[in-house]
Amino acid sequence: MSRFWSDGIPLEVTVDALATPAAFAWRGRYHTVDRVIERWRVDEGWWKRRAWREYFQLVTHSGLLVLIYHDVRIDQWRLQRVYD
Amino acid sequence: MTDRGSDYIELHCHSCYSLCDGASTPAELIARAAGLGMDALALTDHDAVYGAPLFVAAARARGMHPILGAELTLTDDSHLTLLVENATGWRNLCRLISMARHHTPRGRPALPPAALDDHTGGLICLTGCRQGPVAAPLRRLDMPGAVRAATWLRERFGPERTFVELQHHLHPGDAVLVRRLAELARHLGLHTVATNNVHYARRDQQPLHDLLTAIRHRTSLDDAGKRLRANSEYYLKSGGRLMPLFGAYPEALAATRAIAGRCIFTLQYGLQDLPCFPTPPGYDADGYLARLCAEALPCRYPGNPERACRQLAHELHIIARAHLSNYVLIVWDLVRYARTQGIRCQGRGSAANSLVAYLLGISPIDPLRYDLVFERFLSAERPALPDIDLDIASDRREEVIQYVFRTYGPAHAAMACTFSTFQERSALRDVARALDVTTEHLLLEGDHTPDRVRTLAATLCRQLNNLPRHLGQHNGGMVLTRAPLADRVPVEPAAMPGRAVVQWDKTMLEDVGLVKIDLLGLRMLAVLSEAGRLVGDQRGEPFDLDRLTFDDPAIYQLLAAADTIGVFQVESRAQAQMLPRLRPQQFADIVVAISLIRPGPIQGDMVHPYLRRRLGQEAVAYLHPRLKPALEETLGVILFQEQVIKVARDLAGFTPGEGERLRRALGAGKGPEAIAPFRDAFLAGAARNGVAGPVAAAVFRQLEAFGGYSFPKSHAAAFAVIVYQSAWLKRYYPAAFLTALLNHQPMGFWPPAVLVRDARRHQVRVAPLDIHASGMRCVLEMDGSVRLGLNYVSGLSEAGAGRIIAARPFAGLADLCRRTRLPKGLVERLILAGACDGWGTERRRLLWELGTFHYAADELDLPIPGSTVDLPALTADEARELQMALLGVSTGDHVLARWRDALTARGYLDSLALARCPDGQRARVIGVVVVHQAPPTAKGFHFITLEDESGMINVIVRPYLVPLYRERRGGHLLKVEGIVQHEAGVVNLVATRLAPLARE
Ligand SMILES: [Zn+2]
Ligand SMILES: [Zn+2]
Repeated sequence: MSRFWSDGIPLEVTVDALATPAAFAWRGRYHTVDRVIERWRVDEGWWKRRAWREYFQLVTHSGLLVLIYHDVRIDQWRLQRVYD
Repeated sequence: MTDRGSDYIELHCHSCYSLCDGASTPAELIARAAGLGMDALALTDHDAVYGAPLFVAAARARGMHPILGAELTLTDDSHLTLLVENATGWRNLCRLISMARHHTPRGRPALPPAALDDHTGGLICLTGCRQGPVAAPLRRLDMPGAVRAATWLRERFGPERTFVELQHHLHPGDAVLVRRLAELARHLGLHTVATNNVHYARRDQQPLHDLLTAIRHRTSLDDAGKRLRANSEYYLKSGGRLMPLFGAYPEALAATRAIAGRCIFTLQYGLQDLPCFPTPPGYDADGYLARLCAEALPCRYPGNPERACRQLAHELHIIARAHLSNYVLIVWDLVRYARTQGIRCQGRGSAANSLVAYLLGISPIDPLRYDLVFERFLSAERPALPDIDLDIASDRREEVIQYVFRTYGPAHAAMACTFSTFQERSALRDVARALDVTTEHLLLEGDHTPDRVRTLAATLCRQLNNLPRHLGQHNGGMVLTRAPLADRVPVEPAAMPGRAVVQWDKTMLEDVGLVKIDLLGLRMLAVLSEAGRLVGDQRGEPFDLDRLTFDDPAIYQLLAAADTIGVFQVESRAQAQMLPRLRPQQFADIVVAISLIRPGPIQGDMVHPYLRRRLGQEAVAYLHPRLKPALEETLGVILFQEQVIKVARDLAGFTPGEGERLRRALGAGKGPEAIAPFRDAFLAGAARNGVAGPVAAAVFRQLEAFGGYSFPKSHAAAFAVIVYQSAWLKRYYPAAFLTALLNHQPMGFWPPAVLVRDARRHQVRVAPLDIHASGMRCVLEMDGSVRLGLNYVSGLSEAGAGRIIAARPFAGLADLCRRTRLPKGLVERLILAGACDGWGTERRRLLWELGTFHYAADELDLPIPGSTVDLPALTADEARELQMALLGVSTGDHVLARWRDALTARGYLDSLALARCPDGQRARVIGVVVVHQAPPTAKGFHFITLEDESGMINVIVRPYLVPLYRERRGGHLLKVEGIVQHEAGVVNLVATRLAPLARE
């Protein structure tokens, strides 16, 4: 069973030189990224509220599979989904 | 660090000529590619090469290599990217696009895959976008389907010309798709190539592209949903930007450079592309042309043909050397056909410089007599494409077009297309729909509160401005080719059934050097035809306007008096102001008159210096002695288009070709950055000739102001013939002239009402509309009066008018209604227009009677009117006003005539009395506004023309008064007080006060 937050929950993320997430803190625990499975970019809705997001589906070294995104406009990271 | 992506060339790129599926112009794309360091770029619009000429021109201007191609839509909706390697490939691409355009099962072009069987030579195939025949099955995990499609393409195009296309736009699944495509390519032994399926030059054009997508789907942005792309990655990217996405496939990036190197096709045509004119046995084109001219010469130059003979030999020699005899014969044949059908036509453009064109009847002007220089038509050192365009009586142009299709066949003849473009103002409706707001909201005037939506809409409208939207109506440019047209340029069905257009418009055809012949409809020629016929009827013998010589003093008097309402080209208010100062006395003066009142000379401030110099009030002067040869004939000012080229040559050493490019750039109004290179070259060239910098700069400023908005002298000369002929008709046969003018509206400067009143002032009787007497059109009656025709009843179709004519006479209103079955509204209009006055029943009573009739769906059931009532009759003013509103023409007295005594008592002058006032006197007048102009060249001044019962009154409104006068529609009464100003025979009233007269 996976958990989903439609607005995402704020996240502290450390990125590497290529702006790819390297680690993040969530629920008081520190997760380091093992590998990025898929990344994509969304840029739409400019005529009302522009959604410009960089999505990363990744696996942590602790075996967690998550979907996080970077809201480029306000430079904020959010956790959207945790897969089981 | 070296940029490993620097070898990347974009090979899949859409411009705005993908028509609402691309946001950038070809020039923008080229500029951006150059900025990214690409030295080549491909253009692959959807099923079209509309943008190719602009793309090629923009690329050449930057020293870049343009690659042509297209993205073809197949019948299964899949997309295939094709690039042109060589001339064979271009021919095949043109054929494939033509086939797709003629095969539109769902209203959209669709190429049956079988067509690829034998049209793949010289084409490089990229397997397409996500919608490609290979990628689409892969996305469905249909591996066998993908392999089948790729194998099929490899068989058609060969392994060296088939590339598996990889695209990565940072969508979920893109990386996987790229991997699978690359694996499949390896499996089949095919190469891969990376492209970005570009739809706009810069990322910030994504909104514009989304907007176009919404417009194309007729939906709002909110409802467009998946039809919009999910991100903004479809811009022109450098190899460096694509590297991270294709890091595992460097060969796919490198392949772009290799493919670009293979595409060596260049787009350029030559004159040899024209069909062969069938000459009689024993003659080639040169020989036949010479014979035709020799035969015509004695007729045109009886007695003393020596000079003409010499000139003819010279012209024939140069025409033959340029291989143009065939071309001239083709045009001659069109003119000959038109003449035998009684269709008036004449050449325009530089053809009038040629004796050959005169002898063949293509041009109406004797070039020897009027000092026209053949080299402006065709010069020995510059065998450029001469242009021979034909003006044809507008009502019969179609017959000539049909003749061309019949003679050369639809495979060799087509029309140039036109593009309807978005216009900033009209685009507002589209933008409003896309943003899901009302246009009223966007327009809300006077509301200056900042509004995000309004600002956004304004920006989008500006960006949409001038982008092509769809193909428009053709405008008469014809393309003829010897090889089948579809080998040269794609051909597609036009809006008119049975008609085809090529994918380029007139300018584009010119740019690539494909010969076109413009067949332009000119209403005045139709007027001359009809009026000439009427004159013949009146005289009882055929009458030929072309027999007129241009030397009747009465015609020059008419022109000098500016009595020119209705006359071709010289009837406008600006002309009427200028003619009395110019005082034309000979044909050459007419040529000057129509050249002088053009935006070029006006903006260049040439008009007044010219007139002053002509009147001897100012000495002829040149900014530099080198300008004298070019400008001597026009007293030192630039009047004719070709003088730009001469000035550039004499002052700055431009070649004729460079001069022509300069003239075009100035005329295109492209703004300072497009002009700058020309200015630099001009100043540098002038400096080499020892011309002082400030002088050269001043001359260039003059050229800039002059722009390209002017006539070549030859063109003006050809038009001057029509001026003379129409003036002659007005002078000697005003009733015939008016009849013909009324039958070919709308045309010219003045509305029909003004034409009618002007004719009445020239003693022409105009008879009202009458259901028992009027014909389909206006006619000249036996007694010499002009009878308005049923074509002046708005809304009445030709069929309806035909029913009236067939069924008359009518016993009364009920009879009219029953037997013509005209809708009630139309009958009402007929009554109000006075067309039913013949029964002697008052109009109001007729209207009331009409109201009592019951119209069933299609059946007319007419009960006998129950009772009669007394209704007040329409007053004369009401009747006139109604007639005016319904017909746009009134045959009754001028509204002011009845009030003149009262007006005179109150100190108002009529137009005749005003003309007698001395300069500087105060005066007040009342008149009906017939024209209101605020020309952009007039620095804020407005010009109003008032009409009263005896003529026209010119009112000048200074800028400070303009805001006080808000009523801009014509037709209402205006009261003006002002100062009388006499200037060289023209009387103006410079307004100090003006007020509209409320109508009771
Ligand atoms: Zn596509
Ligand atoms: Zn595409």
